[in-house]
Amino acid sequence: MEEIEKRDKREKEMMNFKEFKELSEKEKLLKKTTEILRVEDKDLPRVIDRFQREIKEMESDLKEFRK
Amino acid sequence: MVSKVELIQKFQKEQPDYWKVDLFERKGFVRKKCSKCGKMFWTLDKDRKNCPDPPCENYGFLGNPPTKKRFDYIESWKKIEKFFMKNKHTSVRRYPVVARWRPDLFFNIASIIDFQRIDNGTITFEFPTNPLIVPQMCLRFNDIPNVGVTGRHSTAFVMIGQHALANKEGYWKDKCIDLDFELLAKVFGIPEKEVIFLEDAWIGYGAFGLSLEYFVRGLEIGNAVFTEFLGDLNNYRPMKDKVVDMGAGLERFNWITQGTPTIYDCVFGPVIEKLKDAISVKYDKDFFLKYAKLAGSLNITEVFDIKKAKAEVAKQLKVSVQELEKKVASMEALYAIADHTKALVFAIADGELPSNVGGGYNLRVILRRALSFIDKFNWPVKLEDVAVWHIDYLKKMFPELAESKEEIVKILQVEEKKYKETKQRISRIIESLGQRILSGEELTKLYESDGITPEELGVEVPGDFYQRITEKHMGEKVEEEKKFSIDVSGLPETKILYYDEPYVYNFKAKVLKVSGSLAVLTQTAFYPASGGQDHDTGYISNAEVVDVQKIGNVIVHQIKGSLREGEFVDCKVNKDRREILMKHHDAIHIVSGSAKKILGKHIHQHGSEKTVEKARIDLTHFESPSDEELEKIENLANEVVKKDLPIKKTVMDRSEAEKKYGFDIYAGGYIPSKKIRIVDVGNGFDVEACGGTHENKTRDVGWIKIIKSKRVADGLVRLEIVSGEVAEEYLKEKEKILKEVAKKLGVKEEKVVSALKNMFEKWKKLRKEIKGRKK
Repeated sequence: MEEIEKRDKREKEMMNFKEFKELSEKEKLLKKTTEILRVEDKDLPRVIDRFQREIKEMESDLKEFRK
Repeated sequence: MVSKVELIQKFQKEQPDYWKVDLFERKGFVRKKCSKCGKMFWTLDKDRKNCPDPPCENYGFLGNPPTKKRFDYIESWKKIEKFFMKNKHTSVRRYPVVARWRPDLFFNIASIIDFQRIDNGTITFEFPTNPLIVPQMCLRFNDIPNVGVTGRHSTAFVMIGQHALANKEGYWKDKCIDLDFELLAKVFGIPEKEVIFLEDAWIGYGAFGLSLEYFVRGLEIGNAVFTEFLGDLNNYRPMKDKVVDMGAGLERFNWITQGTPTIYDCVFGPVIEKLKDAISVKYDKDFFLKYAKLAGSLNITEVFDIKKAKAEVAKQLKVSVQELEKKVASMEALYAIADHTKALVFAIADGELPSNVGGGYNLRVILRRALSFIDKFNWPVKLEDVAVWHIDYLKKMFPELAESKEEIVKILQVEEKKYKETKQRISRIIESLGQRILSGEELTKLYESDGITPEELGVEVPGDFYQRITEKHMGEKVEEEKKFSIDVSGLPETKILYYDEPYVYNFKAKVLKVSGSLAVLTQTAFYPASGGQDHDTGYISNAEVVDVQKIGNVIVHQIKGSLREGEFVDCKVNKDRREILMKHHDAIHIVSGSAKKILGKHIHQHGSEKTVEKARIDLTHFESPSDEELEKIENLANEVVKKDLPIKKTVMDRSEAEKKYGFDIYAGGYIPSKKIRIVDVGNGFDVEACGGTHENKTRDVGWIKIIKSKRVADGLVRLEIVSGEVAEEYLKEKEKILKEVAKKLGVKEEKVVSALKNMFEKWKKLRKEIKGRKK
């Protein structure tokens, strides 16, 4: 009885396989993105911010040059 | 300290008839003392003065074998097997050359090793049947420089093991020698008077006995050891069941009937001829025969200076050392290639890889020695072809080799590629070094990461180099085996609850002993750190359990808080932590089985660790697995999870477990106990001897995710794994980051890679333009 209850609880709590595979695909995508900039995934948002900021700055500098 | 010689002398003095067997009496053998070395021997030749052991006697069978018939290598075995089976012996299949059941050995070095087990430093003998015969392939690496040179040294050879217990099913000295003599004289047709027995002794691990070595024309064919004492020479006791341990060289039986210049000319079947054809080597047979007679009987291994020994041989042949080298060097190389490849075939088939880890280092040495000969002579030979020739010939005797053919070929190809890369790297390192001397630390790093030894770099080997490496690894082991400081002598064995009831987390117990922060209970469900699995935590009454270790049969809890000896306590194991550790432990087993099926039979565990954060497993593999291979491993592992297969835990006799599942059960390490706990995941998907805690069904483990793969040493790959809730949390965390990245880039998740690439390209372009403008 206890075993069956445990099983039921497990099935209820366990992520379904489709979801697991979808999340695995997302993890794979994230891995590919980290390889482009060679950074840890947790640092990626911060690094993107920096790049975007620098792009903006460089674009504005170039505008100045062109004037 | 008593030596072997002193032991023999002691017995010769106290029991001079010890070596006398029925056969000697019946046939009229006489006991004589060698006029050269003083050793005692038994012979039918009353006029004989010297013992048959070189250098007291030279090889007298080269070009002149004592038998009328010539037997092929496999044919020799078939004759021997038939003879012993007719004499009520069971023929047992060979055991692996990788001695996973022996913590003190990397490789199987003698047939008796098959049947020896070490339990807490004590040797025991476990025979599957009595009496028996086994064609045991053995690997020995202590004579590598002599292989190919002396005409008789090999790294791979078959020791014919004739083993019996001295009881009513088996036999003792008399019958053993009767059988061996009959085999030589009747089956192989060696004239009786040519067989000479030498009084000797053999000291093995934890056991020893006196022996009779038998020779024919200066060639030792076998050694019948009568093992009857346990312990060492200074402190021994008689064994309850005495053991006949006769080991004879199959190659020697083959050679004595062929009388070829070297042993290599007859023991490899068609391989030597195929090699000669492939490289068109010039072979002066008559000269080689003269050379072999000298090279074979000179005990080059004991003179330590092969150059000096060769000069002596050249002098006797009346040629210069250069001429001698020219005439024999290519043949010596060819023989070494054949021998080394044979050793590699067996080692790889049995799951060991050339590497710089453990026994793999020996394999790499012979592999690279063989490749360096091919390089030196610029021969159009591939080791994988030589391996296939060996397999095709030997499969009649060892059919299992054919099953690993493709894997062996692949591994040898990869190793050859590595060898070439290493050679280039070595050139670059030497060039870059200039006059700079590498530090010991730098040399260690090069050794561990690339398998480059100081010898290969041509630099002086620091005196403590290999010691440092050994100590480094020993240090890691010592840390794993850390023990609490508490005297547990006199305490009863702790009753273990976590095996029978792995899901019981609350229990009652009595406190037996308290010493500082350490406490011992009558029974416990707290799992102690062992087998790479982290310990449990929880509470004993109000005291927090922070660590748990096993000392002998007693489990010791480290606590924060106070307990009183004699008090009855309520205990609570941290359920969440335990369940994660269980899932991670199961995941290791499943991934191990999966890796073996995807990457090959050579995959073996070299270590593992199971913590709450993640599990890691170090696997022997010749290259870093590709992303596709990792995905296949993960997919197969999750298939096993999905199927909800049983995880069976059975305590069984070690011998029964080995017979049923083979020696791969020691993948996680040898268990020094007659009873072992076998964990069978998924009806044979992965079977290991394991003392860890495990779930009951594979679906209980939850989904498995390989989160990282890295090469930790040459020939060793580390996989980091999470499973169950930890895997789910890990993936959710990654999804969160991906979402954030997508949002920042202003694209859908599936477009982040191209969007990021575009952003990066834009950044690089702008930077270049800015730099250009600034100039």
